[in-house]
Amino acid sequence: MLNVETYNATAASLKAMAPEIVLMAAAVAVMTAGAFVSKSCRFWARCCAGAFLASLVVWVLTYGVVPDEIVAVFVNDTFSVNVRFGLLIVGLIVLGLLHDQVDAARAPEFFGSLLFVQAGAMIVAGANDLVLLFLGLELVSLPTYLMLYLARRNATTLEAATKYFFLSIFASALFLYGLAFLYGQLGITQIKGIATIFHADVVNVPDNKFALIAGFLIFAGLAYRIAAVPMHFYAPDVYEGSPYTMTALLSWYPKAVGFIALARVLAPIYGRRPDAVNDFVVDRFLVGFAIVAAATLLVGNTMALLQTNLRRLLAYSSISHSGFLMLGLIASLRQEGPVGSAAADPLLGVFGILYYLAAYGFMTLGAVGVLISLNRGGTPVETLDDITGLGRRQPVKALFLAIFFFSMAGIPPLVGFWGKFYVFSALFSVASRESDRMLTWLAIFAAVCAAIGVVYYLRVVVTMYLKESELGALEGERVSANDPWPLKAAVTGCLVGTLLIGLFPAIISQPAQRSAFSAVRLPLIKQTLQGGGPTATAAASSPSNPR
Amino acid sequence: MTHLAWIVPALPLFASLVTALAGRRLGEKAHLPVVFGIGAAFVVSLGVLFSFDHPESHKICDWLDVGALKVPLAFQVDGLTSMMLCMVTFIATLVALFASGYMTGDPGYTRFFACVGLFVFSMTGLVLSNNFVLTYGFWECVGACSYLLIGFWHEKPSAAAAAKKAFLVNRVGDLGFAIGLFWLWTLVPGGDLSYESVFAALNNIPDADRVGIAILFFWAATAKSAQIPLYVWLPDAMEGPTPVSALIHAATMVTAGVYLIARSAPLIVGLEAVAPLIATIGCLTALMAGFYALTQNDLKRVLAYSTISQIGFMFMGLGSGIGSVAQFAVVAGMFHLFTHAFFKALLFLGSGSVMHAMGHVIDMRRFSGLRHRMPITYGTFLIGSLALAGIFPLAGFWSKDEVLAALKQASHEAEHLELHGAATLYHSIYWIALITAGMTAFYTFRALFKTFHGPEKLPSPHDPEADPHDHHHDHGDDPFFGKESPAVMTRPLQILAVCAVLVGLVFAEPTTGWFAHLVENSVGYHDRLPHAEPHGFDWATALLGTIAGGLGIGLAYVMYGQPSALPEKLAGSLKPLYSASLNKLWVDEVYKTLFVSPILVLAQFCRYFDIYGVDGVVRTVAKFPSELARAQLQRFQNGAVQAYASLAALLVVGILTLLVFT
Repeated sequence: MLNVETYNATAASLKAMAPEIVLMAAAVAVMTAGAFVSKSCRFWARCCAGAFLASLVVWVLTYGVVPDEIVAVFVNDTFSVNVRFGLLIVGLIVLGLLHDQVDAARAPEFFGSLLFVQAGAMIVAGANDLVLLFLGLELVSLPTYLMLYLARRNATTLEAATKYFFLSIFASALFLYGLAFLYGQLGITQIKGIATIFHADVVNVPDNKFALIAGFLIFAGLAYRIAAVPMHFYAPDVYEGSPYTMTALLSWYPKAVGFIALARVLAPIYGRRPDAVNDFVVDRFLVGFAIVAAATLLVGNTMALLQTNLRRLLAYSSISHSGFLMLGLIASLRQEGPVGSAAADPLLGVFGILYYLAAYGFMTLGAVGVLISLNRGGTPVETLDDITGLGRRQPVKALFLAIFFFSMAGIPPLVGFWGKFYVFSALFSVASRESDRMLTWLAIFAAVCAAIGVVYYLRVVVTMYLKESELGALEGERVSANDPWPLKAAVTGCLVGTLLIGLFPAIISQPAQRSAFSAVRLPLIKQTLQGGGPTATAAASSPSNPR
Repeated sequence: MTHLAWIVPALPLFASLVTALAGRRLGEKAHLPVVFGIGAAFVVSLGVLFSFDHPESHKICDWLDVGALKVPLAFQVDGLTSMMLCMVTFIATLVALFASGYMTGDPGYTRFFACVGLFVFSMTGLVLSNNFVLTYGFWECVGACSYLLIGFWHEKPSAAAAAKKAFLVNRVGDLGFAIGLFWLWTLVPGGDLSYESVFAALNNIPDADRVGIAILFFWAATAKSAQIPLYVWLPDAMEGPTPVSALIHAATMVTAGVYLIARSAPLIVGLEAVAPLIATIGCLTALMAGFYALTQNDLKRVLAYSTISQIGFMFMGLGSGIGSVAQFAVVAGMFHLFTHAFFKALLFLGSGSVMHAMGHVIDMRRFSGLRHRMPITYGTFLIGSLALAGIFPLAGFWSKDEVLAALKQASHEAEHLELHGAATLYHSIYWIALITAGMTAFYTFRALFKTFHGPEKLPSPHDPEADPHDHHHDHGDDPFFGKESPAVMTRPLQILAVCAVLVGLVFAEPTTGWFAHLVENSVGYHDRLPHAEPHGFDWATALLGTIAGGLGIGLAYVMYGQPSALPEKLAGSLKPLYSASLNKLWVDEVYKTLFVSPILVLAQFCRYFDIYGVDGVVRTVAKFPSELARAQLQRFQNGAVQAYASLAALLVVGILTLLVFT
């Protein structure tokens, strides 16, 4: 009986993973073929795009596959479906930015790696098993090492790749250590299963201290991917040492994957209703995460003030965005406000994370895209000095860049504003609890940091528009290189996302809300396991949810 | 047809946008969109005037919907509105036509017409709006447009200063309007500030509140309509191009205050304190401005003070609305506004024509005897002057007579109501108004004689009285110097002259009573304004007014019709009075000492406090984050992998220890 259950679940998991399998098969094919055929960079990019589209088609076909949430290693709940769709869309944008940025000789490996990274990210979004989750994370990391090395071969790139490599393994070790603690407690690896047991409020299961250590080590491992303090040190060095293409890649995939994994693991397992018996762990986590979030915000925003190199600036900006996303993570651990409080929304935390991630993807990739396009002109654009007077020299690109930076600064009505708005409102709804007053101070601190952040984002805009360019005076109008259409399409897509979702936030807030709900929802335990009683466990508040 | 009233403001707005966007391409034809836009708006206004039969309002869409405040974009069509619309668009069309000749060659040609379009849009929107909030919005638009137009030649410091003065003084008035609005809003059920619902709710509003609101609205009106104490901006406002002065003085700006009071008449009626206050202020303003105008040497300045004085008459009319005179009072005030618009526009455009011919010299001491050189301008100016002086059967005669009649009736009514103080007050106002009417005739004809009669004299740069700063217009290449203006400028003058002769006859109470019927058919008037049976034509007042006008003209002829030493002698013997009039009672100087200087000192203090106090704190605080990063955080970012890894490990362990063991 149970074996049939397991078999069915595995089959359904594999079916649900078909989009990832398509991507990985394409990756293998591209990398193998690259050894034998020599084609242009664009050819391989086209193959890669084909694989993306095929994966999208398969995603549509496997939409209705629902593996059992307790047994299966891979689930196809609303979170998984929507987030993977979002990852595919943003993946196409990334591809548009990268499509002609590598030498033809290294292109097959590069794009093969990109496919692996994409597949890994999507696996993380759907993983219901700690091992598969780790696999997905490594499937993002390992090809990234390769791509860092492939993108450009010189001493600084090598240094950057090495730094990233060593610190990444270190983080993976921490993450695995955390998983081991979790597994050691219960002996199972299914996330929803663990969550169900944790929520059953059985005395001494799990042991509070071990659960705390496990959770924090998992967080510490993922903190590397999201570039949160204290695992953030690599970001500025690696961003600076690698070309803009890698900035695009590094700023998106690890961050998105890290937060998706956190939403997948920490929110359902450790998230608690305030009336739960066992909320020692949550209280502790709130303290720990508040410290980390505050430190991340402080480092990201203050250090960015000192930067003149645009990539270092983007690195610190990325760190500061992690700080804001952490606010959503904190809120996700308190799944419901005080009973009867209208402000409380059990989903706000994860919802805020998802919304902010979408906003982050559009505005950051858009900004990097504009910088890539500027770099095509021949003169490298490295520092703030290189973009002085850009408003006069290249009005369109300058306007685009300004819009993206305004969005990152959180100026309404751009999408970045709503991202900040939702994580802040999530945090405030949690902070309304008497014992969580500390979180109010965190929110105030974060608001101050957001204000500091505006300074360095606006400095870029001011440099472009209000400073006289010596460069322009010397060279006159530099003929801008004609950008290929995929790059234009990618940047335009980002702009449309930034403006459209900013003006109509409901476009993604609805799916994001449903996704958030399915991420923290506990599975209904089937009657077969319960022994025939019609009473399902009450931990699951709602029987099913529409997509 | 009435539901199409929204087209009236839409056309000038559209024309203004077209001019602003396509102005460069239109070049010399940049005036066409605005002239035709306003002209078409006039045609639509006529359609509205003839098609409406009872007050109605049409909603376009919601404009504001914030909490308890709901403001629809809705238009009122009633007698007051359609009358104002026709008058405003008619005058504005002629002014725009005139300006297309007057402004030729100005570098800001397109900007000028774009602003004029916007100005007319604001004013027509103001009179069309069906609620106080929208009226207030357009009220502010009018203020902003007047700023743009008065400061049109903003490179001239005096023009910039005049624009600033007009704007600031108007802001002082707007404050009154705003507070009045808020006050009213708290009293009206549902926060619905449309005229209909406000007037319907009046029975539930305590008299004390109504008095407060009415006085606040009147405060706003004194700024827009240039009354004591906020009249000081209007004389300076002629720094703008002369067609703008014509617009401001006749159609689009100063009438707004009078319109507001007339519109709020149902709110004001029955309050024993407010009407006499309005009449008193109007009377004092009329007398004072007439007194100033006696000695001014600047043709446009004479006209500017005459406007202030005439608006004083309008307020006297509105202010005589006690008891059963209420409706007649509003009709009288608005009728004077209506006729005044025609002849004042005529006079201003005539002075513009003179200015155009004199190379932008307007000082009457530097030219004279122009009647042979500029026959059309002279003829039309003469008609305008006669109308302003109130000579039968021109427009001014009828309306001034109605105002005086209203004052007389008010004094009888007060007697009847046993308000003896008010009766005496109205009685004195009546006589002061008569004296002022005589002064009006005198200063108008003084200006006419000094400009058009006497020996012929043209301004030259070598004139000892020439203003050394006044040479930006070189006479040499101006083909119209010393000649009659082109047809595009004289035609509007002729049309306006015909109107100045006829509008009184066509609309006045004793002849057709058309105007009264029109205005009575306004929202809230029928239910709330008491009206008595029409009195017969007041022959005594008409006779007295004509005698006063005739005396003024005669005196002006004696003194200025021929060159004589009489004016100087008189000025010498009445030295204190003469200089008081010439220097406008030093009101500007008094205001400067009492209000402007202390505020400037306060502003200086605030500025230094801002620079050294607030900014100092802000700068220090702002420095803190980057200093913190530089001093503390940067050193950890040393580029060494081993340092990063150990720091990370230590911090993770540190936080874990903190969480687990505390």
